Amino acid sequence: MTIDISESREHVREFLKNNSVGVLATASNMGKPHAATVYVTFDQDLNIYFLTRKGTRKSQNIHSNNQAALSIYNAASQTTLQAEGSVIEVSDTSKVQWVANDIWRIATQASPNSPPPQTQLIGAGDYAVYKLSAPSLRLATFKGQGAASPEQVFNIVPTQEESHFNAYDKNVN
Amino acid sequence: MNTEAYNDIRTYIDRNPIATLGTINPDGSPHGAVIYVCADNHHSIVYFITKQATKKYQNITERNQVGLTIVNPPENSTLQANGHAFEVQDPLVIDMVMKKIAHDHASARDWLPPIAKLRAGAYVIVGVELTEARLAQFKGMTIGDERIFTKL
Repeated sequence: MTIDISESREHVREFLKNNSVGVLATASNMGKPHAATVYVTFDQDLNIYFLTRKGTRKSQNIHSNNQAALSIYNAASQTTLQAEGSVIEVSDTSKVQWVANDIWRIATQASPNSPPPQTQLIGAGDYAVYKLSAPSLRLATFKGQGAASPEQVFNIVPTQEESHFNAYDKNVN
Repeated sequence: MNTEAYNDIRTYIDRNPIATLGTINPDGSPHGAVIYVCADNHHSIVYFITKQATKKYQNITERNQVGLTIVNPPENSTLQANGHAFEVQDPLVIDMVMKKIAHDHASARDWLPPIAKLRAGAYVIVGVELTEARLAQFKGMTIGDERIFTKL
């Protein structure tokens, strides 16, 4: 299916802006999967950032296998966003600070009556910031959808600038 | 099995029946997908519905180790679990899972799980026998407080 890239990227940005809690799947060097909750933010190129306490299992997994998969779900609209790509630790201090500030804002908004653990990590400086770069993001809205093929349901949005994109990932979720 | 801990975890799953499943792709990279889940009443097993042509099901048939996570942001709580996936064959269990998932989502206007809308082969019920599970409830707690965690 042919998709207008700008529009699709804007949909993804809008979804990420309103849905900042996801689950990150990583794999150990023994091939054992691990899934953990993360708060996320993103940049204009749709790189996704998260932070975690140093030494967590996801952090250890990323250092031995830098591939990761992020899933975000909005139950009200039955919309999923999936991103699979590689992760690097962010060392640029200004970018680390930007991510920490943004996640602090997001986390306290998500849970205004009780500061979530991420805000305590940021306060204590005991964290690392990571960037997930995926070649494409997969967005699907199921609410109101009749039975349909994956081509009709999944919108594959490339993160790199291209005028148009004609693609369909036959692997469904 | 720690029965008391499992009861807390089961109650949590009943209240938060949407999870993300982590599996491993053939190339060793991880895959994550959202699933609607329910917990067994007596054994430490979590069930979900999927279809045979999905990536997660194909991954499970190759490597049955999975990670499973549920998050409730307003409550600052999350369940992290690992286990072994298996295809459920027992018709009584399949019936129980279908009824429970329908019941848990009955209040939703569009209760059918997303997988129901996807043409991806035949339905299959998968069970995940939990090998470890950790329920973390951070609300009102300081990091490091042992009361945050309920472990199976």
